[in-house]
Amino acid sequence: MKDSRRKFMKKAAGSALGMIAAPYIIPGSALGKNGAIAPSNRIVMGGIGLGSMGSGNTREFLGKEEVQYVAICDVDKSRRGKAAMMVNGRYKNQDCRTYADYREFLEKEKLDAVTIAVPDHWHAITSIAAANKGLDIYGEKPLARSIVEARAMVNAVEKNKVIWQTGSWQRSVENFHRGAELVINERVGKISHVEVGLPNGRKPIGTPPIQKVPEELDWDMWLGPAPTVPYRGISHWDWRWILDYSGGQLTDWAGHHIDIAHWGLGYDRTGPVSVEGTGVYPREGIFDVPVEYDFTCEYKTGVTVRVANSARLPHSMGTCWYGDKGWLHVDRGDRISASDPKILDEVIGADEIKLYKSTNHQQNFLDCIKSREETITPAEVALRSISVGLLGEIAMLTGQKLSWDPDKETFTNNQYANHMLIRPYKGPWKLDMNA
Amino acid sequence: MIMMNVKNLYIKSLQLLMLLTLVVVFNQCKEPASLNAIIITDAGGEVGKDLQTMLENTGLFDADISSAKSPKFSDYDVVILNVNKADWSADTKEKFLSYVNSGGGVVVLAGSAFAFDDFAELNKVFGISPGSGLKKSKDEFEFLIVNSKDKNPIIEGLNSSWMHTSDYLSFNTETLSGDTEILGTAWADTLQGGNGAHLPVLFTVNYGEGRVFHSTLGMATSNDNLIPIQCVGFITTLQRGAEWAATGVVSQEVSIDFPNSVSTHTWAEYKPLTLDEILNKSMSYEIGKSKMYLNDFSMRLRNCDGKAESYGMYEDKILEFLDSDATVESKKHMCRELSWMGSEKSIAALEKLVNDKDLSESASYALKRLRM
Repeated sequence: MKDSRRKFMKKAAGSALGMIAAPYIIPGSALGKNGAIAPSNRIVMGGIGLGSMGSGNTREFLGKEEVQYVAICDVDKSRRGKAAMMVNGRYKNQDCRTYADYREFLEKEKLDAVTIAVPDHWHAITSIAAANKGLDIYGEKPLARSIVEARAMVNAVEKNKVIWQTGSWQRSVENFHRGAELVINERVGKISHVEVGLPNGRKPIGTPPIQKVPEELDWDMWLGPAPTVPYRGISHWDWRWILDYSGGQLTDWAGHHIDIAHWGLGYDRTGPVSVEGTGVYPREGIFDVPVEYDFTCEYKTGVTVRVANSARLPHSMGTCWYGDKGWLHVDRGDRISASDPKILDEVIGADEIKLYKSTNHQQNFLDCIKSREETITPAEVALRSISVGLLGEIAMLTGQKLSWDPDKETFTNNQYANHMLIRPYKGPWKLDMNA
Repeated sequence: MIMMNVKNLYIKSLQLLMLLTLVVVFNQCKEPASLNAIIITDAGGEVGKDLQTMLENTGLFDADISSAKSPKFSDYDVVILNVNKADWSADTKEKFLSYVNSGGGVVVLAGSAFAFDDFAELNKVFGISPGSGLKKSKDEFEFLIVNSKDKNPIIEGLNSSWMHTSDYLSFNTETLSGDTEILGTAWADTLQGGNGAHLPVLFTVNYGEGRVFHSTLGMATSNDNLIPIQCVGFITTLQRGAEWAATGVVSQEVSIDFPNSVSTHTWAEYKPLTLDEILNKSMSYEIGKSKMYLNDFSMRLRNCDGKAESYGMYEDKILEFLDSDATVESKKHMCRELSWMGSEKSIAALEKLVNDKDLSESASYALKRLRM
């Protein structure tokens, strides 16, 4: 930890001495006037993947005085252009450098930290490369498309001692923090089961025609390690309904409400011992993720967590913990409710469990870059959250009740399911396990 | 306490024995087909025969087809009504009412309830409000049916919501009459001339001692368009509804082909395809064409019992498929399945395919997983 802290300080000092590869013109307001932070003390950042999540994250970081964004990378030229305009607009210059290939971006730029928001099948490769460069990373959920990739990412983050924040921002919102803290301090008693409601699946769209790849897009690079398929116009947003790139709403949201369920249970660094469930899959079209899903995990404590599309659950969306003294439910929109409203007024005593407190997810990342402390959603925690979604996916795809060893991360009763723990990469891409 | 437990055990054993006896007796009753059905239809040609096939494919029914103006209801356990216009005499109507009243079973299909001259008492059997005349959607379209959450043997074990094939939607069920229980509803789309409410499409009626199952599905059926009645949802609910109307219970298992909330499913022969039939239909898959038979194959695989022998059977079929003149695209799908359930046998076959220019990538994918 100390080494890393020194490393950051050294890098910051390096910037002050003009050692950045391509120095930029700094407006007067950035030179420490009017209480602004001088660039020598700023965190130099760049972004890989500038779609809806990536540009949203970039916008948040651009709003932070201690950040200087210098470069962005995207396989889509139009996205690069828009993102660069946003960055340049913020600094009132034309200095933001753009890249199509993340390898060149990581090679040429001297960054402190990077935001990564690429399709799920690219998470592991880009994150591991960034971690191996010693960069601190704000990475989107879900951590990875497979459990093996997720473990490789955690290894890379730990080996390189970089700071990792997952985009599981609900942990930095008051009602989720409050709900989880009440639950972990047994205000609804001993928990027996949890229901996690995630969005209902997107309706299939059939099979869009094969299209000419737009000039601005590098489709081969977009596919990267995923199987070769013709372009059908799904490179933005709608990739998430195709199993080669995403597990659909289930894996997209596992890093939110399952993450919160684990937080309240105190299961941030463990996983279930069994999983069983069913999914509803379309018969037609290119979308092949489940449109309905319903599975239950059991933990070694006997606690069960049922994860389903919201239409199937009494509390619909969100996380609902059931204990022997009542239930407590949290959801977006600052929602928090309980079987007895008095539970919500309970005070957590000085000697009770206090959960990690953050009121701004991006700020928490920046604070941890400086302190070298762990963020509110470190990589291991994100691995445990997405593992539940991915285990459910495998249980639904095999149609079997599976026993899972959360320490060894293997299925213990089903050799077939173990084959599904990886989504093999197409050459020349390789997964660097960092083990 | 121990005495109690022993006593409980004794009672439990006795109950089990009685249950087993019942099962044995029931199974003996089941074969050969023991229920008599009569399909009263004026559709002529194909439709009547198809309804007969559906009932007889359950193995539970012997079904007659009749256009007779005065059938002998009392010879049957269930009467299936599929009529556009029925000129029943007052005497026939009385006999029908008496049949239902004394415990006869009835299935009312599509718009059959409107085939009769206005006769208030018949409407009580059909469970609809009299006088409104047949109302239906402007067009034929695929619509979602949402089953009731109430427990009823006809819908037990079916997907809770399912897509019906292109059909007219009846708008006549806004208010039901008599002792009815709603089993499934569909949204009466205002664009289709509906009232924007969820209207019953499947419901039951109790009349006297009799049981009536009413399905408004199948309205667009003609001898030139069998799609509405080839819907696995239509077939399944008719089969289960007829058994329930005849006996009060349902003994049939639900096929995995039962449609889900996004995909329709039809049976052209009113029974599921065999695995070999599915494989044969999968062989011609090309990019951009329907992938449904390949997906049906995967669904069977996913729903198998998970035993090594079962996967072995599927593996042999896939290896044979990979060796056939099936299309490259269909073979790619099969390599994906092998990637998780294949054995050593598959590894050997896939190693050969690595040198195939079209299948190299898919074979490598499968090998990487199987060697994990």
